[in-house]
Amino acid sequence: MIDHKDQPSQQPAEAPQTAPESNAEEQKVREILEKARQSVKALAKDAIAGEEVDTELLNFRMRRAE
Amino acid sequence: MLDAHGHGYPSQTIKVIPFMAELSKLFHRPEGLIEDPWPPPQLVYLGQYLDRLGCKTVVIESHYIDRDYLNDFALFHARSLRGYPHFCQRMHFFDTPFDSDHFRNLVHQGNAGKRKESQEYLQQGYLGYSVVRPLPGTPVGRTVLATLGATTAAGRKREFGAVRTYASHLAGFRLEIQGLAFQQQDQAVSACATTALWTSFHRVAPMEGLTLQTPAEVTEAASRYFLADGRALPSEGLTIDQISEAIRAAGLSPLVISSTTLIEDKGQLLGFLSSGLAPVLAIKSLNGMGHAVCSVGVKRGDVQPRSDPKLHYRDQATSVLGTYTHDDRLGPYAFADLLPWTVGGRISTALMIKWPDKTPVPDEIWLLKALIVPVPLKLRLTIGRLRALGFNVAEALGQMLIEFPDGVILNCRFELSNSYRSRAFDFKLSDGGAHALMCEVTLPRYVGLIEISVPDGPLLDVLLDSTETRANPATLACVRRERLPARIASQVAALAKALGARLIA
Repeated sequence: MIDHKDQPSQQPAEAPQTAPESNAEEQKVREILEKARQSVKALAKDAIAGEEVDTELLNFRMRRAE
Repeated sequence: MLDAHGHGYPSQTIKVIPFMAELSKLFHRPEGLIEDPWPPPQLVYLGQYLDRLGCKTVVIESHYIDRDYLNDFALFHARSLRGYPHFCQRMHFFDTPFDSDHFRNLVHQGNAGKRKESQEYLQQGYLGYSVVRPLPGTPVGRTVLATLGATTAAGRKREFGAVRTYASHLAGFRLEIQGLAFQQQDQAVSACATTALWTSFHRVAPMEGLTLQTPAEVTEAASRYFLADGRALPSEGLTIDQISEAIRAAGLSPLVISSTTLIEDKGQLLGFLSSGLAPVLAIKSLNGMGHAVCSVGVKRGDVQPRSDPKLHYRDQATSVLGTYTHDDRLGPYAFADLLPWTVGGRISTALMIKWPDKTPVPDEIWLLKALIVPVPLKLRLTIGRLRALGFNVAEALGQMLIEFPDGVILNCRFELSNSYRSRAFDFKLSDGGAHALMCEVTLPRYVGLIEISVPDGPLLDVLLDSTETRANPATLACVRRERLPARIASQVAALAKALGARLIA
């Protein structure tokens, strides 16, 4: 039977990991991610800096090249 | 009695001649030409380039109707006093030596039940074709040529991510070539920006099932609403605003990325090209002249060591040495070194474009102003945002993997999800993982792909929803790859959870 829903269902979730060692692992990884975020903060900002476009750039004309 | 103009049908002849590097000797010098050089640089370039490909034979069709030229003719040349014909000629190039008798035998052989053998003979040596327009001074029409080999003499990699398969038909034989279309601006309906954009469309439009626009249509669409500089035709060049309008009119979305730093510009180029998208590069000479070329590939060396020893990853973009461009002043696949250039105390990204014999175009340094990329409408994520999230993931994974002292390697691009799923059958996933990726996870048409690897092979793929504007939170799945050490399996599971993604292993 085909489901008819207005919204697609959510992706099947992973089984909740409630073991204490899993929680500790998750906490450790969150700390690693936070440390990584701090380390690459400036680089991440540079990566999206090019998306700011001003009128002067939009008016830049590429004429026929001789 | 009046002359019977146009009552008859044109005749067709096919000539086979040996290739000569001075290709311009096949062309008549236009009468009265004194302002422009003869031969035009594009013909000199094509001769040099084909010589480098090892071309031996040229087959010329005397009558060829070219869709692009026909449209330009209807819009512009048909109203000229000079009697321009509406048809072109076409040259086919082969790296196998054969003559007219041999070619005739191939046709006879095909007629004797061996069409496949004749076709295979021609296909094996096929280097592509070039349409010759009947325009004095600007004869080089749609030209699709083979790329140079995958490796340079110095062991560097050539990667042409923005080429595709073209089919041509010669004397009943279907021939194919991998390349991307180039043409010379005709200085009437098209300027450099038009032809660069036309080239870019040649890659993305078929991917999206869109009709390919001709140069005249590109110029008309670009000039529909923005005509600050007067008439649309003859074209006096386009602004980035006008290019954006032409991209929208073609049913695509214009992504304009201004040049920032050399490494980020390389990252953008590598990202788009390896996604199969050809960026138009808006460049500016040191004396302020604007020009546009279309980037179709990159030359890559080794991934460079980390610039910051505190980081635990290396950026694949550091391996980019330069880009192969379709420069309508020269020809297809003209190599340009990418280098830092200081202007007014600011370090900019510069291009030094070279001839096929590696001679730089004299006195020319071009500063990169922006990349303009026609992207599919639903591709809302950018390479920049992919990279920004990729830095976080790569740094975190690099911290977990202390056994790789040189750090893991980060690469970011887009890929058609169908293509990714096809490749994934070779990822050696578990049966459950493969089923989850193939049958359970919903993926958009294009996935944003953060690839983490080491020189020996891939470690982890992070798949993102490219229909989102932000890269985070938009992670759909983390896919374990062959070289990921088993000892960090639980950490990678926790990483996937932190990203809100499903782990596929």
